[in-house]
Amino acid sequence: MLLGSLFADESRIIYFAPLPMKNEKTNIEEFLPLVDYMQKNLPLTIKFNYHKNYDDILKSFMDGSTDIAYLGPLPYAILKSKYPYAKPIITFNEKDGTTTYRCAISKFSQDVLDLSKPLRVALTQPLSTCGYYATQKLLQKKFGLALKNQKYNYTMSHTNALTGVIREEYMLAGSSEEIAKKYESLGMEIIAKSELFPGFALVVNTKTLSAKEIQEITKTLLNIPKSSYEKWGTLLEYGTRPADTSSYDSLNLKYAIPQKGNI
Amino acid sequence: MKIKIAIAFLFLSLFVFYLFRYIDNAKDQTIQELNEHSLLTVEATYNAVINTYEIAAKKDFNFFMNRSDVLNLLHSFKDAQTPQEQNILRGELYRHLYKDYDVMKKMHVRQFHLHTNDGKSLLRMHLPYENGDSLIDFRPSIRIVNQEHKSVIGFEGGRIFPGYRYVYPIMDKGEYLGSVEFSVAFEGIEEKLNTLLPNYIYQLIISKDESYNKVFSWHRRFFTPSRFGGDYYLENPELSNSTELYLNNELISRLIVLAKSSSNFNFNLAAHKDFSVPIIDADKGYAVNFITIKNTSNKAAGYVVCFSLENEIAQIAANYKKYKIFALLMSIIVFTLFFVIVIQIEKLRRSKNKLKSINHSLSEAQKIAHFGFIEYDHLKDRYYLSEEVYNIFGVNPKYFKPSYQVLLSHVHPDDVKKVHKAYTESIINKTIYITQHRLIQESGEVVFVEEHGNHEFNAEGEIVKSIGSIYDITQQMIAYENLERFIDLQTSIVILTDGIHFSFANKSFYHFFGFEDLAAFKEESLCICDRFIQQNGFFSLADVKEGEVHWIESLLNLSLRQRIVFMFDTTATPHAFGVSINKYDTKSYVVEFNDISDSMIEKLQLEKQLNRDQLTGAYNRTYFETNIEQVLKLNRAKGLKTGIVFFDIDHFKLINDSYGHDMGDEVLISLVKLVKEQIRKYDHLVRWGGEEFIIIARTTSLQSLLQMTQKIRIEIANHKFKAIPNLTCSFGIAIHQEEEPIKLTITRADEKLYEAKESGRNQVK
Repeated sequence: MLLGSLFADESRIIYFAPLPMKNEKTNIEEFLPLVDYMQKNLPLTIKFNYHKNYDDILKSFMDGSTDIAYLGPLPYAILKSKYPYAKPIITFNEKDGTTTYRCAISKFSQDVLDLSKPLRVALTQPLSTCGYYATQKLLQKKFGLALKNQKYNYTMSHTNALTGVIREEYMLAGSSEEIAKKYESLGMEIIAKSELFPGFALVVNTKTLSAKEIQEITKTLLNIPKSSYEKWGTLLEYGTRPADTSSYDSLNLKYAIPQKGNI
Repeated sequence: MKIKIAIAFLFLSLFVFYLFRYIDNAKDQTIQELNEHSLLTVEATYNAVINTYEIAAKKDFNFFMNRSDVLNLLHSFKDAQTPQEQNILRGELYRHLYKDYDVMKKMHVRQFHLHTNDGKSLLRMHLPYENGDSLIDFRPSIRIVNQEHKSVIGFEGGRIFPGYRYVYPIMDKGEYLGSVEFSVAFEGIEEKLNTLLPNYIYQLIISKDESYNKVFSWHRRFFTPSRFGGDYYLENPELSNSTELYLNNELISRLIVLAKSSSNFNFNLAAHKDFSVPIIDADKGYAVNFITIKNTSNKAAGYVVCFSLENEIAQIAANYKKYKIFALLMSIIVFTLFFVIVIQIEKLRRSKNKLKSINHSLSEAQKIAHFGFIEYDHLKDRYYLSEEVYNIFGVNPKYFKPSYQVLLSHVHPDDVKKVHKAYTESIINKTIYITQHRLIQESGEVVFVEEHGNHEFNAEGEIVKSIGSIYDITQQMIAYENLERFIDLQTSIVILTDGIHFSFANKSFYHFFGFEDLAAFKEESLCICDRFIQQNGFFSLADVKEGEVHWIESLLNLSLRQRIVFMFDTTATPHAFGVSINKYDTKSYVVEFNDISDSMIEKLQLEKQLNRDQLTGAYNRTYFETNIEQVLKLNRAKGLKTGIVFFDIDHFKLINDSYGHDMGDEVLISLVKLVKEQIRKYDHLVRWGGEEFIIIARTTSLQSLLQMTQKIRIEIANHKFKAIPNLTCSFGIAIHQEEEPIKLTITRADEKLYEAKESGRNQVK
């Protein structure tokens, strides 16, 4: 207690892992307004802990070198299954005010699928919710096909997956429904949609952060004025809401997701 | 003086200030010329690159126009009835074109964009899902192509990226299908520029209207404000590798700061014309060139900024720095010289004024003292006469043209020879000349002058200059004459002397000593002091003490009562004189000898008896003993010799025996009288004893003494003595030798007398 008082005025350093999908600099710049806000309103010094893929983020989370991470629902679910100290505190609103999204599989409307042969499927990232996980479920549901028996590859982004179909490199693309809809103007059609998944969340490491710190961080992030967050860019510009931990329960992963494609 | 120096310093400061400004302007102009050259090079290269891309774009367009499959799809798209149809056709187009686009991207074609015939985005190959938006209001190039069906080329912002646009109308079978656009990223331009001008660094800055304000709001993050300010933006690293490369470059950052701080930078930036900023940083030179970019509406859209190392700029700056140092040093030297000159002029002016004042004072002093100055330059044959010279000569300076002859013509005719002689001899002998003479003024008045002169000679011994003074001594001469006349009236002996020589004596002097004039006296004595008889209680030369300059000083050192001298008159009568001394001028004294013999008569009588033979009146041996040294000294002083004539009367005993002693005495008296008449006044006749006599004679040689003695012998032999028919004398002569005791000389004369007696008498031996 006495020690805590003595160091009360000193900034505590915590490490934040942003989204792994884009290049480091842009990624950091995208999250910089949020991090600045937290630093101004909390006795914290936040340092970026950038990783190029979800797997690395999860590893750093588990070894205690990451205190907060911006995670999609699937990476969180995988993390939670291996590391009980992960806890989502807030999620970010979509443009329509919801915090959930769907995944979809699309094809070029003029293409005809030959189900007798393995399909060439374009995926995002191994730990992306709309990647192997959702695409496998949708393919099973729509055509009764197992993804593992198809030809698939990771294109590392939703747009790459969709563009790959237009380029005739793949027959199907797994992506978020939102992005798949954008490609309808290019003749793409969504042939299957998933159930609603919880949105991206800030997940805290309860092993490295105290309950009080988590409480303060949560409180601060839920009270960001609209005049601030509406300037923060596409990922953050619609505000925050408390994370519903139970919404992640549906993400029940009983198999290991392949880290590489089979093409 | 201080004001003059302050003005000079102010002048120097202004001069240096404007000189430095001139040098700075010259430096700026030289650097600017160099930069203009650099700017022209970059401009030419940049234009060449843009033209190259234009050719490439044209080639791509031609290729595109040959794709019938694509043209058919475009026809279909134009004719499509539903958006779904259009979507499928868009996808088909993408499928047909993406491989070509992949090739174009390698050529830095950033955007490959198809537009509908009504100015909407048909397909962005670079961002295919962004489509359908109208471009007419944002893209003038597309508006022009759609309206006029002609190609438009130039830089232009867009909804996604800015770039160098090459927009062509797609006409097929006479039908306008829309337009196609190739857009080149600045990276492509930069790469080509780097190939041609490898040592330059390039940056694209785009106006806010052409970048930030034109893109979709969700793409604004692609732009970062430029550090040059002025509402210019950079493509951020997500769009441009070159931005990423130089955004945090320290040198570029410093050059930007320095460029912004240069004069007229904001003005030039706002002017939208090509310009160049020279920079010197850490002894290195740089040029920052700004090449303006016009958009398709020919309005300023931004600049290509080109940073280059230009060491020549630093060299030029260093050279001009040296010029400035040199100019400063020269200015200081000039100022110092100017300062020295001003001081010298001031000193000269003061000296001139002082000299003028001195000259005036001197002129006045000369006027008061009647003292003039004459200078004659022999080489230039030019005279300089002081003002007083004209006064002394009594001539008008205006009309008086001096020359030697003219000056000599004013000299009194009786003095001309003397003056000419003094002058010419002084030149020959190279000595000073001093002369006193008379001048006849133009009015006829005669004035007395004293001249002193000297000459200057060159190394060859030739005379170059004569300098002299002339002093009007008329008043002194008058006073002197008056004094002489006054002194002459005195009964006492009065002389004018400097203690060694004397220049004047009054009549009483000549009367007492029996001389006609001073010259006659000087033949015998140089000084009256030679006549002082050494006697107890009287002053004589023997009383002059060591350290005393002359006898007058010795007398002045005595009390008034002790200033008594003892002298004989022409009859060898002793006189006592009280001496009174008065200063005449700085050198001369008026010395008066008052005869006080009456008050000392007994003493003098005794002295007279002591020195004279009572019978004949000749000097006796006492006189001889007392005065012989004085006589010898006097003769030596005159460079003459002292001769001793020893004589006696032949057979005098017979006279005494024959005529008695009275007759003998009378013969002795007559003989003395006769001999005295034969000898000179400075010779002394001494009765040595009985009938023996000695003559102490002043002579030049033994021969001369012999002649004089023969004459006396003959006179005696021829004389008719009373009652004595024949009387002769025999003579022995001798010359007193240097250092010889006088008694020895007398002995030698006596021996000669003996020889004369032995030889038959009436002879001189």
